[in-house]
Amino acid sequence: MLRSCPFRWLCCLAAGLPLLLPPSISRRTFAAALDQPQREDVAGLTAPALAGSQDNQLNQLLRQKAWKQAAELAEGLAHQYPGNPAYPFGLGVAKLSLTDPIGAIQAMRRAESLGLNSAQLHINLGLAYYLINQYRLFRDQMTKAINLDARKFEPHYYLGRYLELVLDDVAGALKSFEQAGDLSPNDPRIWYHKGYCYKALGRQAEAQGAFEKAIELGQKDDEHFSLPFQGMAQVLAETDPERALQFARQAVEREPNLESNHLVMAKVYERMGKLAESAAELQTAIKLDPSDASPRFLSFRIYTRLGNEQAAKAALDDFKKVSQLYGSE
Amino acid sequence: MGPSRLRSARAAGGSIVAVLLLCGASLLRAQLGPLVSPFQSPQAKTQEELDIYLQIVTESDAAKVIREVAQLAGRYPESDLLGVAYQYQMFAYQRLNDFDGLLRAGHEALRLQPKNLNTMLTLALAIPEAAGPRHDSAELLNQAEQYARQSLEEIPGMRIPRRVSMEQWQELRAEMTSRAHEALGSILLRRGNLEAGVAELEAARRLNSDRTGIQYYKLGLAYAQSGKPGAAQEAWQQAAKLGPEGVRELALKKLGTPNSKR
Repeated sequence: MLRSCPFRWLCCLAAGLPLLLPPSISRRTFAAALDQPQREDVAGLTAPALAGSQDNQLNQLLRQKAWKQAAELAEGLAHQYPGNPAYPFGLGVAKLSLTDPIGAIQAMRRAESLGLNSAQLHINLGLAYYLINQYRLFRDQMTKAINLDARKFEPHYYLGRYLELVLDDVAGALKSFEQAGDLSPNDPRIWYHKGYCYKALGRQAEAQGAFEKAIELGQKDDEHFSLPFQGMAQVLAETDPERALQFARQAVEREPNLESNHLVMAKVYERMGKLAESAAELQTAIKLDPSDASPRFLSFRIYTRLGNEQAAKAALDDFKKVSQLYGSE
Repeated sequence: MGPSRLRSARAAGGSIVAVLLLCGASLLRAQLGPLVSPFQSPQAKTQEELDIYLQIVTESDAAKVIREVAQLAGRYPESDLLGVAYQYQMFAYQRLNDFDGLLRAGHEALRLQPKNLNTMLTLALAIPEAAGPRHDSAELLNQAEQYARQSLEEIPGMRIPRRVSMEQWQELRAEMTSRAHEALGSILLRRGNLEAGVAELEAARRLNSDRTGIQYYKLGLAYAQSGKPGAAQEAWQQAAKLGPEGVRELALKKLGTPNSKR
């Protein structure tokens, strides 16, 4: 298992080696991997005297994910009604979705200063802090959200992602995902991340069970969610490579542009002794994410086994170059 | 940098120095911005501390930036964000053509983040342009040289965030290396070492894919000082062609009197 050592993050840093990330979700794409911001009906936050057609319009724009228009309207309303926290909150949600975390923070802090103190606010504010790498404040906000509304699974889920990705604390992440799962038992993503953590902790049977559950649930609502298939491929790679390959293929079919799907497929091919196929998958992985050093190292290994010394040397040189440049991020 | 800022710099400072200071730094500021890894990010301890920092980051008024950095330092003297905040203050002083302020803020930034390339390169480029008439100019030039040389040592070992592609990094690295050589060229010229100064500026020019005229302008000055009026004219023609506006104005003025010395 790639992430079994709890201190691997530090070890990798010291050795100048790349940190192998959870399948498919690199640190770079964590922002994109975050679920949609937690919306809340602005009307629900608006004083009755002010609730009206503009509130409804803003709610509608937020629901339609028309972020730019929502931001413009919320900004106008915030100027018009400077004492109402609902509008800066709406503005914050829209800005967060527009990948403007600083604008989102400033808007939501304004909402907070006007007296808004809801779990939704703290979750969104926490996510915005996360996006500018302010992890301490992110944690504080998620804790506030949990204290305000113990029924919400999202703060546990996001804390789990943070523990897994930033701190490399798989055991801590698992606890958070389990808490999230208790509150939202039918969420395939939570099941996937539980599976990932089980696998990282060497609990293969539980990992397989969690991935299977994620696949079952995912088929109902998200046909493109490939990670549980990738997880299954990894779990089965050692014991049943033929079945592993089937899962790896299904993962690639669902998300062909996910570098890690090709990386896992390459590993399964390698396990099966299909070295040329493995090399081809690694090339695709490199093309999809040139900043990831791990497929380059695997390429070196595969080309060495194929007896292609020239390609092996080139792959090793590339691995060193990319590792040096991008380090462990 | 925008032409209006160049014009206002010329109007405010009335000097070539103001234009040259502004040209180099805004580019560096813009280009080094993405080179911050999430794992190197300083952490705010409180929301209020971050609020002030975000005001600094988003403020466009240089005078306000300077005040807000002072406020952050006063209220949160142990803040991890201060190193970066002083960088913003350094740029703000630069925009106001306040060399003493720039030096002060730059030194504070380096005290807190000794290997910050952005700060080192900004100081290395700014010092030779502004230190001329000062009594401590020799000492400052030594400092600037140290910053430029340290930058050249640090650049190859830099680690970059994965959102910056290898191609982008190659350009950025060339740009930063070029700026370090540009600074060394300016320092050597200030010391009267014309031949070495020209060589450094030529190296800077070769490395740089940035199509602005500032380095051509400086190279023109160096050629003119070295008694190469033809080469100076060619360099100034390139500078006038590439701009931006402030540099174009300076270059055209020089082309009117191609043998003039700085």
